[in-house]
Amino acid sequence: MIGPRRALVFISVGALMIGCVPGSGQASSPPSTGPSALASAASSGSTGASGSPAAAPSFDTSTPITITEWDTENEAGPSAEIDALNQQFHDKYPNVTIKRTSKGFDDYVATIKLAASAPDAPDIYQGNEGYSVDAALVKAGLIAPLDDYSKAYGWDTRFGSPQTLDVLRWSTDGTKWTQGPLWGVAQKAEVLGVFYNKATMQKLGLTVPTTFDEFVQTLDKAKAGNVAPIVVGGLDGWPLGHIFMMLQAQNEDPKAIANWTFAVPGSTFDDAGTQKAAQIMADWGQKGYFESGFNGVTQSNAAGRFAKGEGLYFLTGPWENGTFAPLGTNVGWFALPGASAGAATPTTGSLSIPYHISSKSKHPDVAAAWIDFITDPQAADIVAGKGDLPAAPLANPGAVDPNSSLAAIIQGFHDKSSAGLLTPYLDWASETMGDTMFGGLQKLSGGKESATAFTSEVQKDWSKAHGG
Amino acid sequence: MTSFGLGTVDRVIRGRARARAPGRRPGEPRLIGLVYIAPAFVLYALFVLLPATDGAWISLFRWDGVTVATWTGLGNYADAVTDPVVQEAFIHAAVLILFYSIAPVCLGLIITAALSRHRIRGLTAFRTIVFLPQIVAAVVIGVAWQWMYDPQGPLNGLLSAVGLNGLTRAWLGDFGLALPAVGVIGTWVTTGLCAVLFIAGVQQIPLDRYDAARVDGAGPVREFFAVTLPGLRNEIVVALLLTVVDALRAFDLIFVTTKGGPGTETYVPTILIYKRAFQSGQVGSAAAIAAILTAIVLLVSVGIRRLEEAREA
Repeated sequence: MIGPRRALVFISVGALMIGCVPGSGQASSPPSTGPSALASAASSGSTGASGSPAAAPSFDTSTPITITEWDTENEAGPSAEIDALNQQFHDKYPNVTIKRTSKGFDDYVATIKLAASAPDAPDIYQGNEGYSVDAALVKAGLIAPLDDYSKAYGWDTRFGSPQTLDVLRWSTDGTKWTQGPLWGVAQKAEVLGVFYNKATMQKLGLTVPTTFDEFVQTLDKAKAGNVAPIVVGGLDGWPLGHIFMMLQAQNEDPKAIANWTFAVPGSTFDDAGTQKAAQIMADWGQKGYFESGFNGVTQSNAAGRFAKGEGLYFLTGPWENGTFAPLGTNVGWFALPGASAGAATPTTGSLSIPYHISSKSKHPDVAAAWIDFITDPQAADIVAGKGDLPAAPLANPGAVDPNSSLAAIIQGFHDKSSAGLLTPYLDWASETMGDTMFGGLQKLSGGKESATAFTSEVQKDWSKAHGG
Repeated sequence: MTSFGLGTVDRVIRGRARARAPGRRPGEPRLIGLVYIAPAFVLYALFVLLPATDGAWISLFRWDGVTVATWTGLGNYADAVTDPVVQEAFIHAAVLILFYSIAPVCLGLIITAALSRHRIRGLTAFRTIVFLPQIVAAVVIGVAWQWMYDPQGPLNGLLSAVGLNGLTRAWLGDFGLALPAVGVIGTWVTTGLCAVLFIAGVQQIPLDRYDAARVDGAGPVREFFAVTLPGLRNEIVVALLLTVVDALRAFDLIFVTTKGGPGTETYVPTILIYKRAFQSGQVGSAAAIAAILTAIVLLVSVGIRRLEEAREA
């Protein structure tokens, strides 16, 4: 926990270390020349591998090398995945030792930019999609472009459609998102959907809904049966955000959502489709579809109670799949259904937190080989083995129980991603969007604000960041 | 915790200096004193003054924390002062003073008044118990209270059990009550500190004053206002100083329990500083709010000290 006083010291010491004008320490490698110089270095380093996917890396496999790596996979399951993969990598290349640092997400995001700008920055580290982390890293020239590695190792085709990687593309000045060089690759993926309690559904005499109207009917039936229809921790804000995103994805043009999120000029949040989604959100709050007192509950408490059998639905991403393990075979998953059964309905999803290579790394080829190693289909099997959704397809799909929630999630992600039905996370739209939108949704679902007031407030934040 | 007013300490030190150095004019500083304070001063300068100056410097830039900053002069201050979110945060901090400072001082005085008429057995144990919240880590306190405030937690359970179902609510998610709910945690934490300060102070009030008051026929209330309260003025000033500063820089409890929500209902300056510095890449703006907060804390501290000096004069 970083107290305010210490935070101040922290900021200041950071500034002290890098000179008079904050951030001027990077001036020696301005964004315009830094990455491109690196790109040529990288390509000359990996020319031997060019063209043939998954070719052997061209780095020295005899001299001892230590690679430092930072990640935020600090929960038991994910942490064990990375440890296991690091061990396997070391077994494959005995001269390479991986020195790992792992932190909880809040801590991580608060420290990664300072760590990345230090002279001894980690060789490999996770960033985060969006302006506040990834764009800043690109703009400061702290991470290396990966297009040559991507071609060499076949990353561009590893994750379904090549567009899947677009969220990791930025112009070299860090202003234009989804265009320009590729700066990172992710090991995991995310798709928002509906976890349900199979036993409760059966007890209520319900079946898995296939249309949105049927879904709403099940909410009514659950409420009538004294079961919390949707268990959610509104106190944290973002869980409401994810529910809203699923609703918006099917009420708004997905292209418009992407344009708005990625700051295409003239985009708006304040239009009919999004207002309709906001109205549904407000109605759900007022009709009691969210568990009682949801704005006073943390998501971890809510998830814990769902895992103990409380409630019918839990609308969130695959990261909670492990939390729901106590439900055993009683937990199922489906993507929030759309207007008509079987229709191609968009939902929110994307690659998860990316790995980057530091532009200061002395061993970018080794770093690239490591990233390739932990994101390939064999690694995907290990990730799925711990109950998480890997970005790459499994090497051995039969290893996952076809009736499990995980199998449904993996299927759901690949269906949506290959059909181009994934919409981006809305809080990516500006650096302050998370606070603006999630705080607004607490007000909206708590009956303190109207749907149109919410959409116009959010649009105001967007305009402040992007103009128009 | 000293129960002397700082003025008392001053007088003692000056008195000694006069006694030991007769050839020196009274109160004239001796250079050797600088050597004495040097070790502490170097550390203080390195880890407090220098970073603080630097923070003030950063507040003059627009900076995302990584790339080269751009000069904006007092722009961040102008933005902060006109930003309704920032204004709201400072108003919330003022509300928290009621809970972190005024309420604990009053409660501490009530506890002290109840105990001061008689010498009570087990006073040490009692003092330890009321002081306990002070030594528990704020994060632990936050998590514990978050659980108590949970819609299905013990507080609502208790209310339902005594038939007050109408009062049960999602305390930390309630738009009107989230800030008071967080404030009550602060009251719970700081009451012990105030009570311990006051109980210690009361023990230094000569018993004959109480005897005199009783001989004059004073009841418990009269006795409290005539003897106990005036005898505790230094302790009250110290308690106010500590708790008001606590209220203004409250961060940990709010960060753990609500993170500023619901909506912006529990935003306080420190939460904004954290969000802007570490989440939204507005380091300059964060530094500006921090500088404003520091100035307010200093002003308030000086104001409270003045209160003490005015009374002593």
